[in-house]
Amino acid sequence: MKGKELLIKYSRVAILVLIFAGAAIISPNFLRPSNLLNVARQSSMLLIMSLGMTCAMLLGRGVDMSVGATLSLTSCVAAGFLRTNDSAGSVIFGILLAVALGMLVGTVNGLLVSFLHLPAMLVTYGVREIIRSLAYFYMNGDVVSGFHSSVMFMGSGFVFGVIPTQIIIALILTVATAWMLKHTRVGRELYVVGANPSAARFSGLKVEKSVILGFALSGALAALAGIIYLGRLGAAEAEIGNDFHFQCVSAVAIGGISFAGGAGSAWGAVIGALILNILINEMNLLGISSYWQGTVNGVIIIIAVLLDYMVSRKKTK
Amino acid sequence: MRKNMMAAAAVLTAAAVMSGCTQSVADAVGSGSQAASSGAEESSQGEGSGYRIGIFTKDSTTAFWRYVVEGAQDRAAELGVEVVEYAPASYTDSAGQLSMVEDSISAGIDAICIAACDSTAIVPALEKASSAGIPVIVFNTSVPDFEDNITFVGVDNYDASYRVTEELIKAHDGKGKLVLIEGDPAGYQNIERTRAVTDLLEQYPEVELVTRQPGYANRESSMNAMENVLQAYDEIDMVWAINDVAAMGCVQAIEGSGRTGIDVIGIDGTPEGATAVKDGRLKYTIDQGPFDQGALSVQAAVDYLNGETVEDNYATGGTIVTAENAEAFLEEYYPDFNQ
Repeated sequence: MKGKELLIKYSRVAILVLIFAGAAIISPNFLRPSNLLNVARQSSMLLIMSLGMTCAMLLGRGVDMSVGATLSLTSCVAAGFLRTNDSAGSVIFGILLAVALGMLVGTVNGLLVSFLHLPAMLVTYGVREIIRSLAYFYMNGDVVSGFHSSVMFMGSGFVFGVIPTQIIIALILTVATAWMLKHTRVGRELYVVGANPSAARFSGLKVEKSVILGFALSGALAALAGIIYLGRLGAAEAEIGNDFHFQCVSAVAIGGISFAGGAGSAWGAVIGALILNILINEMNLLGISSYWQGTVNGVIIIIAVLLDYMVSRKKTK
Repeated sequence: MRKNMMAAAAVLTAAAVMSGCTQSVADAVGSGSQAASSGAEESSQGEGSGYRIGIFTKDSTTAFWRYVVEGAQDRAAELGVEVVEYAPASYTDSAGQLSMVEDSISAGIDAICIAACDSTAIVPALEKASSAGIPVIVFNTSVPDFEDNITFVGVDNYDASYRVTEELIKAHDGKGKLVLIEGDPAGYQNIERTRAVTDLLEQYPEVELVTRQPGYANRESSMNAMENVLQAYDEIDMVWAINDVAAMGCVQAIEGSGRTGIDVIGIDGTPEGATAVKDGRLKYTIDQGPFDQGALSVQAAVDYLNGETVEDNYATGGTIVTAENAEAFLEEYYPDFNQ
């Protein structure tokens, strides 16, 4: 019995290892260092947003549907301060502005969810629509390109000449989020509030504050991802990130977050993002039609949700 | 136990609602923009006064369609008619465009100028318009199954793709390894533009088609597709992309990989594409003449409504933008565009 529990607990790591090994056996190109870095780089953006999604979903109020739109609006607004000839001060201001705007969007989400007790999925969907149309209005069809070298370094540069900067940034943010969730008071409160809001309230926690914080973190991380995105694409346009919220929900679901709240971790988001991207990469290497990629992703998500269900059933028995 | 069952059920319902609701909300709201803009608030002068011409673009967000609408508005102002702009949320939202056409018929529009998102799906709506006596002008993307259109305005997709691709192949002395980063594989525009390439491949047997991957005419998907192609194939000489936006995604992927000696071409002649050609990042692009597409469509509509003769076809654009003419091209058509 003990062994079975362990198996379920580490099942996601096991799935990741299996998929990795399978990909390595099937495609000789998969294990090339340049391809592995490619997969890690393509996972980085998703990972950063999924860290935010983790913070929001720990609260058990539902998913944050606004991350892609937040990324789009914040990166478009910041883009004007991040051009090639702008000063370092302007670049720093632009990044801070993006993060502040992202937090603002998240705070609005959090306020609506916590004080009005509205379901997060629908509230953030509404906010997403508003944010996205603001981004379209702001850009009016324009594409802004030509960014400051530091922005390009974040999105498409390399550390030590080989490791894409994005991967380093994503790792730092993962460690920071994991630490925050585990070792700080506010982080632990996210779990407590998510697991049992009424108990949290009785023990004197400010439930609303935690909910707002969770969504604000989601917005801030989406904004950071947006800055990296500018450097990766070399262009800001309003239509980016349309379906990012679905990818993030998939990643954290595969990574083992509980939709009821109170369970999940930053490292789960890493596993989820890697599983998704290794599968896509492998299918591309094999030349499998992209029509099937959705099917494979869907099956993986359902398996992940089933695992979650089995784990929680074990606990209550 | 019970609680968990309910939680699992909630997750599944949520997933179902999520996937369902994006679609239905987008359809119901049309989720795009519909903006009345003007030519002639102070109408009563000019022979076309009072006509309301609907211009249906494929989305409200890309620069290309904005130039189309600007061209239409300028000409409408000259002719003293009103232009109503209809745009779905994205170029794949053919259902949204369909309902917009139906709504405009109910709203009593005088003429429809349309760039169809989906050349098949739009046919019933256009037939409804014609039978209601509303003239239909097709521009940008032809609708082969609809025969009652007054005229076609634009570049033939096949032609534009054929010309710019042949230019690329010739620059490589008729041989080399070619990659296609397609648009939506099921889209009419993609079918026409890639058909030109496959026809050229028969003519130039020494050009080898390495792979074709969908990038959905979108910068990030095309960039991801190109990155994966770069991983899978060590030898690539030429990259063909469905349009300029996709081509810029490919350029970004190639530059990021540090690989050199790969020429990328796009289609559309957007200012961004032409600037990239000028800077030597993109090899060629081919102009579609967006201003003229808008202007000539409105002109044809007004001419028809006034009982004047309208040609079967109005060609726009067609200039291949190269390193030599890119600067002049930008100065002539996009003087306000600065990068």
